[in-house]
Amino acid sequence: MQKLTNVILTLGFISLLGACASGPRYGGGASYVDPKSIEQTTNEFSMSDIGMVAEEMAVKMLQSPVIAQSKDIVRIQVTDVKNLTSEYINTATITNKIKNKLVNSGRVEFAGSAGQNQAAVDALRMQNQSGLYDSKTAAQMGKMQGAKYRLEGSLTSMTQRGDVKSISYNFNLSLIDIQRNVQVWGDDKELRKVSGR
Amino acid sequence: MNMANWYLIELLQLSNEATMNKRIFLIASTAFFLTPFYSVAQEGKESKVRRTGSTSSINLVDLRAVVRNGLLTVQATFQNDSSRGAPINYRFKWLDESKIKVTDDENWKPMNLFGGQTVDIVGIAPTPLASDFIIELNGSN
Repeated sequence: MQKLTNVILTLGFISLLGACASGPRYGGGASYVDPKSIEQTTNEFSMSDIGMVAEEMAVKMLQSPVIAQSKDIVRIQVTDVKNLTSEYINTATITNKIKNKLVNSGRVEFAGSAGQNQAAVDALRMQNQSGLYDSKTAAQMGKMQGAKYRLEGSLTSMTQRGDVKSISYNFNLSLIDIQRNVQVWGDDKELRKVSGR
Repeated sequence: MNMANWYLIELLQLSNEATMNKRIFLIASTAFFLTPFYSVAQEGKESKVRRTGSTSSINLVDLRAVVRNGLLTVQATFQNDSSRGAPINYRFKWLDESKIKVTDDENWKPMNLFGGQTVDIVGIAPTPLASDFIIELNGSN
C-alpha cells in the first residue's frame, strides 16, 4: 500500500512539473510587449519617443553634405545631449542610439570622449609600459586620432494647459567643425503629445 | 516599330481622317492593352506594403525609391479615402538583395490622417547594405 502511495505521489509530482514546463514561458504577473511599439501610458518623453528621435536624426545626419559627400570616414566626438526639459530623461540613451546608427552606416566613426580617454590611456600604458605584452602586438603610443567634428544636442519642451495638456518637445542636433569652431550642420525633430489634464 | 508606337500613330492619324467607329475601337483596344500594365504596376507597389489592422481606407497612391548619397531613400504617398480621420502607425523594414533584414526593426511611428488627406512618408535606409524595403502599415482604429 505504501509503495502504491509513493508511486501515485511521484507520478503526480512529475505531471505537475510537466504542466509547469509546458512551454518557454511561465508565471502570470508580467508580460513582454514589442519594445518598438508606441508607448502611450503618459504624455511624458518615452522610450518610443527616444527611438523615433534617434532614428530620424541619425538618417538626417547621414544625408547631410558634410557626411554624405565626404570621401573619407568622418570622425566625430560626441558631447552629451543637454536635457533642458523639466522631466528626468536619460539623454545618454538618445546619444547611444544615434551613435550606434551612425557608426553602423560605415560612414562615421567616433573619437573617444573626455570620459573615455583615461581608459584608453590606461590601456596603452598597460600594453607599452608594464612589460607584460609582446611589443610586436602592443598598440603603439602616439597613434590616437582626433575628431574633426563635435556633435552637440539639446532637448527642450514647452507645456500648454487648456482643456487638454499639450507638450511639445524639440530635439536639436548640431555638428561643429572643431578646428574652425563653426557649425556645419544642424537639424531638429519635433514631437507634440496631447492628453487629458 | 513596336505596338505602342503603331497605336500612337494610328490615333494621331485618326484625329484627322478616320471614322468614329475605328477611333472608338482603337481607343478601347489601347485601354484594354494598357490596363493590365497599370494594374500590375499598382499591384507591384502594393506588394511593398504589409498591412495589419484596419487600413482599408488608406490607399497607396504613389511610391518612389532612389539611391541618394549611397542610401536607399523611399517616398510613399498615402491617401485617406474616408471622410473620417484615420490614426495609423508605420515603419520601414530595410532588406538586402536576398530580402533579409539588414537592420533591427524600426520604432513604429504614429500619424493621424484627416479625412481625405494625402501624406508623403519618407524613409531613408540607415545603411548602404539596404537595397530593398517593406513598409509596414498598421491601422490603430
